[in-house]
Amino acid sequence: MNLGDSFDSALRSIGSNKLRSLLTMLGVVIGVGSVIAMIGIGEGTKKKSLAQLEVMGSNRITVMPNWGRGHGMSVGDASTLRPADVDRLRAQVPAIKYITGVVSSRFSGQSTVKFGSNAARTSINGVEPSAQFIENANKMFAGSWFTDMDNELLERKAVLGYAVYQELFDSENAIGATIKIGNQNFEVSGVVDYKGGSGFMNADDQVYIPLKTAQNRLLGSKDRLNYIELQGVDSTIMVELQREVEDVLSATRKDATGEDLFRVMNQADTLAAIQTQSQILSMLLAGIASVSLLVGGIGIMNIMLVSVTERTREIGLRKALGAQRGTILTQFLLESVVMCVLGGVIGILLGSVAVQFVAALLQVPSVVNVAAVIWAFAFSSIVGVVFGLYPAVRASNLLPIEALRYE
Amino acid sequence: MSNPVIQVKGLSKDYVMGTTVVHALREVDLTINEGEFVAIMGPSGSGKSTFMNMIGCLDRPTAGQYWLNQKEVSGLTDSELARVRNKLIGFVFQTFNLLPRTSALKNVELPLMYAGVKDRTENAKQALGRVGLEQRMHHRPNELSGGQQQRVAIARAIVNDPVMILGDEPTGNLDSRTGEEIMALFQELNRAGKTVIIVTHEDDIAHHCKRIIHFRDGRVKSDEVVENPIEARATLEHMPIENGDLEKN
Repeated sequence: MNLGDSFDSALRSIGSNKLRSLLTMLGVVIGVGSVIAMIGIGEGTKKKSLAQLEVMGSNRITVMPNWGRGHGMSVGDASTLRPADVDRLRAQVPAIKYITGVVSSRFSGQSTVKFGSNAARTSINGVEPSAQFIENANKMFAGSWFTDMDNELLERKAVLGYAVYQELFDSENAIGATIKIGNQNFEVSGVVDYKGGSGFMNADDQVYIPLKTAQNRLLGSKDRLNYIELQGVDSTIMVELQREVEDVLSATRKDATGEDLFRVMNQADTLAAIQTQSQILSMLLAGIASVSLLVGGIGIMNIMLVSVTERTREIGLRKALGAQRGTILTQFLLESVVMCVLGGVIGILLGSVAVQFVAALLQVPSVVNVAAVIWAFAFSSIVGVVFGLYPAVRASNLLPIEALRYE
Repeated sequence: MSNPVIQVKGLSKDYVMGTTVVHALREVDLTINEGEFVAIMGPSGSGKSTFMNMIGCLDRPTAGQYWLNQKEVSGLTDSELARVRNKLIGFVFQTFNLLPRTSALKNVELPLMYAGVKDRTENAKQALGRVGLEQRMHHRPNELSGGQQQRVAIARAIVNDPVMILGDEPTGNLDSRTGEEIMALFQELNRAGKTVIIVTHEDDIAHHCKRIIHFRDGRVKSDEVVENPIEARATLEHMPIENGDLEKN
């Protein structure tokens, strides 16, 4: 008797009691399916977070005032970032490639932008033109960014994010059009190409105007910045760059206790945080996976034991006809392995379908992790062997005469 | 030319039932030669079934020796015994013991499969042909009558060309005409030279054989030659055809 015969006989036996086999497999199906689905969704969420980081600009460092410990936001407060800080950083840190101070309506509530009868609530950001590189917004759908000269001359020019453009102009030409921000007229100079942002701080839902225009004409705080953002010359020196920025600012921006009055956020940190988070999620999923596969395995063992008892006479007959102990062992072991693997395959299919479905619902990219599929497959066969072994050994140890006489 | 197929000396079997020991077989000496057709009889508890299990290599004796086809098998391992059962013995059971949901052909192929034979279908078809069931080889047991099922079982018993066929109450579950047909088949196989041993408690069935061995209390009580065995073929001609199924195919 070769393995093919054993396989054939295992399939025959599974097929001869379809409902029971199906119910038995269900544990493994659900176990594997949910693992595939959850890992897929976890990966999708991670991918989305990383993509969002990407559209917000990479190699980016943000300097925020330190608002902890009750430092207020009142003008003149020592924690307020000022254009002079930008100048100092620009002068003293050569590793900075681009830098800009930012004043944003985000910190005073969203503003409304109007074109004719269309209106959009969005964030208005006063920035220097270099922000287009830091925020990865230099790929234009139409027109171009305002220039440094526009900034110096306090020109009322605006660059629209793609989402804002769609809302106001509905795909019509926007370049040169006059929009109203607050109660002032601005000329649209450019539209940034679609970046695929979403959610809070959607990178497509932004309007950029020259920093000095914003400070002097619109957001009315001439000597104040909400935050500073900058980009290093190279992504490999981010940590050093961060330290240099901190050193320069620390020289002046400290309170009486020596506490820094600013916070520097490195995108690498955010990246690491996301990675840690998804790692914890993966471990959690692995835990759930083991538990559900364990339960599925116990179900299989239970049914295999029942099956061995039910088929005692058949085992006796097979032994009478010359089946070796190993042959019976293989037959029953294969039966449980085939059942587990079949359950695993169904689980993988159902899980992959579930990933597509849930991903569409959560608007995250759907990812069917190949490694997870392979693992689930391997794991379910291991479950089959581990939980099928005991019943199979029991079957193979039956004495032919007792098995034949079994009622 | 009398080659002993079965030779036992001092064959004993004790069963421990709780605290008491049951002596199922007590030092039985017996020889059965090639080409014999033997009926083993006796009331329940006489040891006839135990004896059957011993010579069928399904159970091991407590004491004594057993030569099957002139080779001692008393001391063989489980695995060797399985091979002996597969190659030298063809079993026919009272309840047929066919695999359910499995075609007649596949059932007959089973011993060939365990023997490791590659081309099984041809051999199995031939065996089914010898029991007159060639046309029903793709039927499953539940689509066959009792007599047909038993004939599939006989085909399965002869497919590996064993030295003997062991029938354990082979007609016990069949009506008398079908039983007669099965006996006719056994007689045919015996005439072709096969050694056939059956256990039965029906006198009538036993008298189809050439030799009857009576067991009682674990010992051979009598061992006699049947002068004029009943010819099953002849009997069938005088029997009314009601459930007979030889004609059904």
